[in-house]
Amino acid sequence: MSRVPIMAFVIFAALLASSQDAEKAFKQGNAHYDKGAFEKAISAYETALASGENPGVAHFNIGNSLFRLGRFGEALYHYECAHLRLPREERIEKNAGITRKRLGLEPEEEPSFLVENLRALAFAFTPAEYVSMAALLGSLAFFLLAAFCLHRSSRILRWSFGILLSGLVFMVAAGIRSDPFTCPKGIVVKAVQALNEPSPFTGECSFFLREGEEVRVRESIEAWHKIENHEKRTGWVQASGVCILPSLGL
Amino acid sequence: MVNWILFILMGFAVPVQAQDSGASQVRAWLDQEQAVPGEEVRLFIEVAGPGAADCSLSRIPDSAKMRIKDVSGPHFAMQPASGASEGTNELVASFEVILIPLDVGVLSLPPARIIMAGGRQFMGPRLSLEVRQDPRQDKGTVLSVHTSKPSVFLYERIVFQMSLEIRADRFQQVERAETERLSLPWLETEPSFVSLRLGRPHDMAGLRSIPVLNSRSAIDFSFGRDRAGEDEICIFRAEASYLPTEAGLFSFGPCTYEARLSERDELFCTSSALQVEVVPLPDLDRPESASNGVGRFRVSFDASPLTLRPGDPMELRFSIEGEGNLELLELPGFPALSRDFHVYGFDDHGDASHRWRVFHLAPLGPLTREIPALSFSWFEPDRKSYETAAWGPCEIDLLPGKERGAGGPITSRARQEDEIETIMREWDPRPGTRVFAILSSACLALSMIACLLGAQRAHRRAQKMKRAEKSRSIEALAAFRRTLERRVPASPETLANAFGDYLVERFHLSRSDALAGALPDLLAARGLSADLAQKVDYLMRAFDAQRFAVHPGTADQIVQEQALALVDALEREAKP
Repeated sequence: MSRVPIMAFVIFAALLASSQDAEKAFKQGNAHYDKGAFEKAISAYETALASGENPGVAHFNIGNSLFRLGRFGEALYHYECAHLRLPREERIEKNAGITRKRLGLEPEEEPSFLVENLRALAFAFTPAEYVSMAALLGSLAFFLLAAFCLHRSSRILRWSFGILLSGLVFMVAAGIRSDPFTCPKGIVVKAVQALNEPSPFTGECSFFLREGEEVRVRESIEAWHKIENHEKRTGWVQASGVCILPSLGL
Repeated sequence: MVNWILFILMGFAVPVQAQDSGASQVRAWLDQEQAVPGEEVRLFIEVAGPGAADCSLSRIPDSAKMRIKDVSGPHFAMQPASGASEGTNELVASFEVILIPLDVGVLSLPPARIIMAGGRQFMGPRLSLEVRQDPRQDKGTVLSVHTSKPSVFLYERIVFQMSLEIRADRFQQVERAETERLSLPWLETEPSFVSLRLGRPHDMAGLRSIPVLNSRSAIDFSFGRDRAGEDEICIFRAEASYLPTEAGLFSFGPCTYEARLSERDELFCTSSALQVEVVPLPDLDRPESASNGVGRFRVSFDASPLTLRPGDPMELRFSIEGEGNLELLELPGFPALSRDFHVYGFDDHGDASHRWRVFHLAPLGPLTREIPALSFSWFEPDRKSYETAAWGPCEIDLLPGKERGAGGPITSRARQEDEIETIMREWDPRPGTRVFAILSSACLALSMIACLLGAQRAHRRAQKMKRAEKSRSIEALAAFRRTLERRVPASPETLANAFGDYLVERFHLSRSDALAGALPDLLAARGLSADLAQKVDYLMRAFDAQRFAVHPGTADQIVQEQALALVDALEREAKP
């Protein structure tokens, strides 16, 4: 039994040490960025990113470094990754917009007012934030249920069910936000040509993908991705040309 | 004993060496015995024998009198073996070297060195080439070339000059020449580079580069007249300056000028060859802040404003001017600035004689009191030493005031629409998010525990109530039994009330239900058989009949006994 606290302390110390290493690498990256050594900055930020802590910040700074190097497609991919983690950060949206402009990508068509607001609401929080809110509401509902058990008041029961329902709505929102049922999104990081189906090894060139274009990755075989572009055209591209955006999950 | 072993080993080694050297033969020859400066001469080297399959030619270095233009090979072929029986072939590897003699005189070629597999080397024969003055050389024309310095440092400016002097009477013919060609190997990037009309307007002042010096320069031309004794001469000059970016020894062939004056008359002249040594910058006493600057520079720093609030924008200007490699100079980034200041970026300005870089800064916090000391070093080729310009530390007057937000100061750069937002400097910009997640999880866990505790407590309370009900039911039964078993006359009302109490407690009925006509249905609904329910109803009616009789008296003994039997039957059938 006496080993349990020691093991817990060792695990906590290891986590703390890894966190400090990541922060150190991040600061090194900032220093390199200030000096204009963007390649070194990217390397340092990637070290910080590997720790798994604050990936949004690391992705944003990598995006800025790549932008400065003129690698706009890759920069856009990292901005998108950062936006998934920090959805309310305006700086990310601004930089992504400028990068799209540099790539010559046309802005998306304006959706209807309702769709735009619903989308804004759904994408205002990360799945983790939605789950946290659902947990908070769920806890309140459980408190009320506990009170109901003691006092047998139907009003308390109604309130507890109402709040529990709200918590469930947040859980559903988290599920929608984590997007588990659709194909993952990808960003074209360099202009590539997509080959016809059925196989990447026998296909002929069917169409070209522009740097920074957003695609859906429907299948992956070895070093090839089967993608679908915004015109619903499908084809196979080399994996090095398309980076898949991470799925946040719950 | 050791001597004997060495003796035996040497006895084996010597025949092996002799056999090897005897088996492979190296031959070399030139395609011509005489040449003029600048002419291409071919050197052929052949290796025959078993070692030819895997041999290579060691690099032949350039010299002041010769430049190697190209080396090709090995090329393999089967040839009849020399000194062997007829019909025997052997493998021959051949190399071809194109060399250019640069100066007049006897050129002694170094022996070609062939390296075989295993590192063994074979030397070819020594060869010599007689380099003569070109017989077409015009005696009245002089073509000379020279550089500003025979040896320069890396990145130090070097000037190539060419001077063509033609007698005035000859120049009149030149002006009418059908074709002209001036070849300047240190300017040429392609064979047909120069085609000009001397003394006439020309458009050659474009940018030209020397591949080996890897820099570009404009060519300046000038034309003038002078006197040499009694003769008037016309002088045509071309000049170009370069910044060498690679250290080493570079040789350039002679310049030539040829003009076809008529069908029979031709003017031809050639210059001597040219050699330039580019010396790398010395590592000794090289300061940490050394740049790739080489020349005579004046450096200045300037910062403004020096009175500001934390987060307010300010500019630091670094300026350098003078003679040197300004166009190749890498302007400094000054990493020391980022310690106390937020560096938003910089703008570069300038031309070939003056360059400056403006840094956009903002003091990071109220503790920032000065701009740190900055220094910039470059190499001074005349003094052959590094020079350093130092500045600061420069105090700044920081006024009390609120620090600007994460957006930072609004600089001219940040105002631009296409300028991206700067990097995030905080490792964890939203620590509250994590705290919120942890707190909400903790709340959920606590509330679930509270809910479980509440449910447990409610369950216990229900159990307690059930036990209390049971005890009340038992007490009522006991009271009824006591009433019946007394065997004393009791009023029908007392019995009816006692039985009603028993039913109420035993079957969880209300008092009104116990007296209503729907009693059999209620009892049946609580799991009692229809027969017993009817009996209970009958008994209750019997009590009522006696209670409300015209002459009420004590209850009938038979009814009492029936009641007792019914209670026993009820207890048997409907156990709690």
